[in-house]
Amino acid sequence: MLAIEGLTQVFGGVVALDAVSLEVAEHSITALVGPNGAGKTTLFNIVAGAYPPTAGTVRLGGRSLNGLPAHARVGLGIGRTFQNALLFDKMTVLENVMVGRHARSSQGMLAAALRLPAVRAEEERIFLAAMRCLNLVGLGMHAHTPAGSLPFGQQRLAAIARALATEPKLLLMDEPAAGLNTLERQGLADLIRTIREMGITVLLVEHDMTLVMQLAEWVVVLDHGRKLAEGTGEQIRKNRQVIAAYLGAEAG
Amino acid sequence: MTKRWPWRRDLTGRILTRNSVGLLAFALTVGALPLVLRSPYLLSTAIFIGIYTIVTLGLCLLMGYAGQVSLGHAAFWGIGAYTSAILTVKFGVSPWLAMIAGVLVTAGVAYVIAIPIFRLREHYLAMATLGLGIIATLAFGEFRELTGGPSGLPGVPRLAVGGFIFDGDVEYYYLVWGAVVALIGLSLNIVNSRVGRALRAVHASEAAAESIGVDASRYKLQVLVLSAAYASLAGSLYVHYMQFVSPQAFDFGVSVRLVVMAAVGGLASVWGAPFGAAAVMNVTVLLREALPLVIPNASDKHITIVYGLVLILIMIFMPEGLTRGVIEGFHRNARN
Repeated sequence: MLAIEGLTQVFGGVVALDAVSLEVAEHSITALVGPNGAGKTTLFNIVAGAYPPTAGTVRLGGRSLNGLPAHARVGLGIGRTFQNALLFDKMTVLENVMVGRHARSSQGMLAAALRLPAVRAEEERIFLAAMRCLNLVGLGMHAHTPAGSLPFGQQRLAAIARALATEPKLLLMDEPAAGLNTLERQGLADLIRTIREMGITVLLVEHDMTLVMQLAEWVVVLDHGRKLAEGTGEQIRKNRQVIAAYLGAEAG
Repeated sequence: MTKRWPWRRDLTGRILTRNSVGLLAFALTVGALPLVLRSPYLLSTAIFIGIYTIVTLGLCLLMGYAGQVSLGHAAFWGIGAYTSAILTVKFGVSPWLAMIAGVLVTAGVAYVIAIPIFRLREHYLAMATLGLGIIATLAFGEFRELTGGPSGLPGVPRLAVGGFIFDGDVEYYYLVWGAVVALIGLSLNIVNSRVGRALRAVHASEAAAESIGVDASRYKLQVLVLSAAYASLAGSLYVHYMQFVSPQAFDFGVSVRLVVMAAVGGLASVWGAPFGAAAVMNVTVLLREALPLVIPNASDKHITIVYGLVLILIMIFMPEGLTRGVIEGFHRNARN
């Protein structure tokens, strides 16, 4: 469903991505792995529309996303979570997730100022949808807590709920397990499987290889901005190049 | 039929009830004040505070919710005032139509300025509005046939509805503060809506807000236009009260004072606006009396310097505004 072709990104003189092509199959969980500085987050940022690539195309379901700003991609079904959650700290957890409904609602400032009946009805729909997402990640109890005062693991979950509220077809998750304890990681793995069962395609960047092997049907390895290898977890585990460049270095 | 969820009432329901109770209490207090304010001086001061409150309200939305600073809000205020004055004095247009025209012209100016600025992410709005303020003050002093030049434009008519003329201060007080109550109500509705949440989200993290579909520059633009419209409305109310308009009322010092009003009142709540406006109005009167005792030949320019310092201190120590800063200080003390 997501097709990336010849993606190149140059920052100043540094080549962060060098003609990377890859495909993410619909309803799959695909993992993007590689050492630090391999270009994983850069690739995420380009797919999400944070900045335009130097060269290459990104297509979602056959439609080119080139030139579309980040906020316009949400309506097409691209959702993302950030490494450091990036919640709106002073808003409640519920309000955070309610903002996630932004692209799926439409009432403007004038209508809101007058609080027209259509605005009230939409507020109720936004509220119910947000509550469903919060319950899905298990944070229903914390709806009215200021997001900034949640412990880190729960902030991650709130950020996932916020992204789910946008009704993504493709969810980009940047290191969802970083900083979580073993128990939280297990919960996260279950949640990611549930998300896939909801019909959402998941592309995740992750350093935790246990989690990657456990979850992902397809693994793409980046190294120094190039695609080094791709395949099933089993194939990647046995790939000599990968072992040398990445797993080997870590194991050694 | 929609089922009433038990928790729904404690969400938007609770916020709205709290707001409407607050608004009602505010309206009653404001409505009862003229019974106490017997002196014409106090009543007239209260009218000015009301007019300032309307401008400050727009600035609170712009600064507190969109995180943008305007150093030229006196210009928006002045464009509203001059549009009303020129249309009614020179062209005999109905004051109410002129007021609407003023809002449209001011909103248009704000829109044109903002479009190129909000494409960029940095804080260029402060600089652009600073420039606008300087240009506007110059323009108000030129074009003598229209504006009356530096000496101003007299003979602006009173506002009237049918045969009823708002010519007494008590009548005008109710007109101005009625507008304040209505605008606070509208602003509260905006803050607690999809648009208000989007604005707070943009203020907290633009990247995260964009990632969930919020067009940050679009909403910043809308708030700037809205706050310019508020300022324009206040300008029209000002000019029909004074029945006279001159460029000095809208210079840079006034813009600074408006930003101080918003900062004193509180950037995290629209309720701060009336308090910020009242506090700065009263302190200005005090400073006009007190400064000449310390600095001989002190003028309004020295007052602007004092406000500049106050603003710097507030921004360093209480970035969410004086009111909120003091409230949080109390909470901290209570907890310890």
